[in-house]
Amino acid sequence: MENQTQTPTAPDIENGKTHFGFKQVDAQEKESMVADVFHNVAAKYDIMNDVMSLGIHRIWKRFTIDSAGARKGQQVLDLAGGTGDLTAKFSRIVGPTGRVTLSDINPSMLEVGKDKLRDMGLVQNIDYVEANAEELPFPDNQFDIVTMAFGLRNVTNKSKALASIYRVLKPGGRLLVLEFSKPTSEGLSKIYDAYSFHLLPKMGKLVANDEESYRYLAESIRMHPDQETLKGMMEEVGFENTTYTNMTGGIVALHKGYKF
Amino acid sequence: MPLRQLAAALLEQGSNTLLKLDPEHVHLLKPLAGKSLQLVLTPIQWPLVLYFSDTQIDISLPEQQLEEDAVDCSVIVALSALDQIRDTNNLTKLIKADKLDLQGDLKSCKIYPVYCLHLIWI
Repeated sequence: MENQTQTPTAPDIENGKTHFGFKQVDAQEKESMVADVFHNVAAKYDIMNDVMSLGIHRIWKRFTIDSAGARKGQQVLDLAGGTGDLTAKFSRIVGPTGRVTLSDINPSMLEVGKDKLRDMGLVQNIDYVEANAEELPFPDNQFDIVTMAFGLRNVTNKSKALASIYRVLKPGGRLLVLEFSKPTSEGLSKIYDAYSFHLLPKMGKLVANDEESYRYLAESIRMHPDQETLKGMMEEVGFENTTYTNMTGGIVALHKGYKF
Repeated sequence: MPLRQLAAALLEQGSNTLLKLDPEHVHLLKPLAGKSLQLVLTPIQWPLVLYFSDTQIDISLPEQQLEEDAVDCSVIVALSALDQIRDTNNLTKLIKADKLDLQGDLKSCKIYPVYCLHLIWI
């Protein structure tokens, strides 16, 4: 349990090294290591999300969508959108005059998302783009809303990704980052640690036959910046009126910031 | 736990489960696909927003009433008049009695509530 107290406030990259869970790895290697994790879990990603969170992730995502304030005709980027949970809702909200771009760095996740959304009959207003959040392949000022749900902690250089998102947002546009964060009470934190480091990898083994990927998940959550640190990082790259909302005792937080 | 979102999820799940039990109701969805409707019941003032697609209804319970251009049509109706808007012949009478206000695409506004009530509450 010693490692579980590591402070997640270190800069993303130091002397060419970064964290991959609790391990220190070459910064250039992290992207492919994360890609391997998500390639392994893509097929069982949705069912594991339901099992791990007892379905609560759906409520967290709904809160994110409601907080985005999307309206018909808008352009939305669902970054690190994985299997498309947010894209499906946004697609119906922005309607036929709007557009949703589902983007993920991982082709396996994008493929699962594409199949799922097509099976749901959502084909008219969705684009699929394989992209690295640090170097978004979109013009400046394109999107009204960018969302990133459970993706930022896997990015090698988070500040670079936030700056890239800021660039592609229209003035008046907003970013919403839904991510695991730091529980607000010591008691909950201990229970959550026990769950994350003992139960979660076993559930991963049982459901997805992949203990290591879910051990990485638990470790990456601990290494992710806490609420105030992430808020500061967003403000550093230019976001204004930045706020966050803790959910489920701070296990998850929704950060929101505007580009003016 | 965001309770408003939990309530919307349960309402949405229930509505779509009922819809799928009757193929005729799915047929009713077709003309509404891609449209959005805000229903505000007075005096409660809790908005209910419905987003229609070919196969289902997505439901949101926003904290505040959405602006007029955020949805195709807003229907603000007195709770006491809810059952009367199913008959489109009553609409003008209800508007004159200040029990109904329609904002947005008026043609759609007149059709949507009737469809919605058929889809959700019947």
